[in-house]
Amino acid sequence: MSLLLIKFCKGVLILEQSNKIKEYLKTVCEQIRWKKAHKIISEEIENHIIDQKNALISEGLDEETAINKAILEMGDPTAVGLEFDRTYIPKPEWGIIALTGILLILGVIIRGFIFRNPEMTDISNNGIMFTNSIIFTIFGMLTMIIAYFLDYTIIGKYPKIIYFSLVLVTLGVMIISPVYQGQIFYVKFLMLLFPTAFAGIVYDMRNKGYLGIILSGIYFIIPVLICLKIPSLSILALYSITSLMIFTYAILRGWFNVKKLNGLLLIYIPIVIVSLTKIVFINDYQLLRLKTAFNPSLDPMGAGYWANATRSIIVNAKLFGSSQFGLNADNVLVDIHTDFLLTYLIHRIGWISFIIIMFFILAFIIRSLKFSLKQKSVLGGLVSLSVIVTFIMQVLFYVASNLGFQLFTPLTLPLISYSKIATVINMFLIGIMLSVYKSSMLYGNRDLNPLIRRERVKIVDGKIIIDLNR
Amino acid sequence: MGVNRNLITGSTTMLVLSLLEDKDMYGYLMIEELAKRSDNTFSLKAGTLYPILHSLEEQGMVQSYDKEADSTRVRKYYSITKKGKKMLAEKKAEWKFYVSAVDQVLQRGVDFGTI
Repeated sequence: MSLLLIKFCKGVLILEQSNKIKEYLKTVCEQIRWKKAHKIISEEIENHIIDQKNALISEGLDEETAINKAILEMGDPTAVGLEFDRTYIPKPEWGIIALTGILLILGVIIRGFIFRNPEMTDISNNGIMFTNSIIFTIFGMLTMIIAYFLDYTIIGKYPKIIYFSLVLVTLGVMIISPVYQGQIFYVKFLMLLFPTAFAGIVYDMRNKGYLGIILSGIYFIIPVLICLKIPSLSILALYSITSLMIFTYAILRGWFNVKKLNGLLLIYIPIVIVSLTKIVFINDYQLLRLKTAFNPSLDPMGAGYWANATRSIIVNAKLFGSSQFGLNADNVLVDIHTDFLLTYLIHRIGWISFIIIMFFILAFIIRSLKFSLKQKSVLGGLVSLSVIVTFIMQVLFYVASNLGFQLFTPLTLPLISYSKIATVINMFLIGIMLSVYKSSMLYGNRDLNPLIRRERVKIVDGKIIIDLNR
Repeated sequence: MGVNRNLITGSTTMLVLSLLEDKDMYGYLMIEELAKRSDNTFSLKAGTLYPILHSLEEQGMVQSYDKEADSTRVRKYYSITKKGKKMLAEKKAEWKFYVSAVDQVLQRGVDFGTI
């Protein structure tokens, strides 16, 4: 009985002591405004107090005195907290936020200009479409703000849940989405989210070696199958290239704990083989499309029609002002607001419009790439890279197609061309990217643990030590 | 008094970086080591050390990583970066320059005394 009582009292004592530490940590954290920093800081300080306490106990102090002394030696909790508060300040990337704003405003102006244009065929609808695009831009801004304040590290914490939920949602949408020009329409835009989900999967494969690369490869293939089902070559190329970039980045940062060259070969050899097989077994339609992409005049009234039309329009365009080209762009091009916005603007306003738009888009891309590659945290790097490469691919396809190279049908010109769902998704992604930049100091490179990157065979004191813990 | 304060914080940063020059350490170890190396002349409070370490990490002078201490606890180790080494070298040079300047003044004082 008395033994039990002693045990109980000891229990209470330990509880009391840990309460003292908790109390101290609470006071420290109360001074730190950035809540997400609390956990990292408290853990470290708690560890320190326990180390100090243990040292004092081994010097002969009793538990309670030791703990009081350890806490006292930490220093005044308010002062400590304030010192941390000065260091931990979220740093919004104002440059990229401003560029996003500029692109959004440019988009609204351009769409306004296009929808006011009397030559657009269905005038009665234009007003509604413009209003729609404004509504979805506002909605996009809201999702961007939400993504910005959400903690992006959940992508690294629950990668499989996120990935498979996205697969399920996509399959669901595939069933209900309308088929437009032979494609399951809305799924195309949902696919823009997959590279970022895939970034989480790759993050989850840390130190898993070649098996990790192969497993990631399997995860990589599922969205590929969806792309083939849509079917959309553009989104397939976008997804594959973006995911390859993510893969390459992870290998170069030693994420799978394999030799970098071997890892790269393991990815790129199958990709090259599959692509070559595809080219050997190409069907007639695909061959024609490939040929006309490079030389649209092969089939000027069929597969090469749009490319031919856009090429004649831009060849005749001026630097400033509307081109006098006989073939009227307003009648030749359809779906200007979604697919041929740049061609149309080049025709109506001149190349200057193209230069201005591309200037801001390039500024956005270069700045974001720079920040993504600078990320110390691997998760931050993977996630932000997935977003910016997805953005770059959309721009590339759109610009190429508008200048007359039409192997890939354009998806959207992010934030600028008319689209409802794609605008919201792109802004959501940009929000995630901005949240990575904002909190880059919180998640330094603690996920890179040099302990685990050890040599398999070591020679210590003349003995060969073979490490089997892989 | 501003200069004085700067001198102290500046040299604390230098001391912290120099502790990490030989090996990676966690905070508690650094305080112990500093006391040992200076014969207990410098007692750095943990509450001062950690904010310094975190802001050095923010500036890219040190990096941190987790290492298991025992089954329940994980320790945060710090290691100095290339940038940190460069900064340390600069600070050391500055410090030597300062000390030798002070020495010169003091020694001349002694010389005058012996004349």
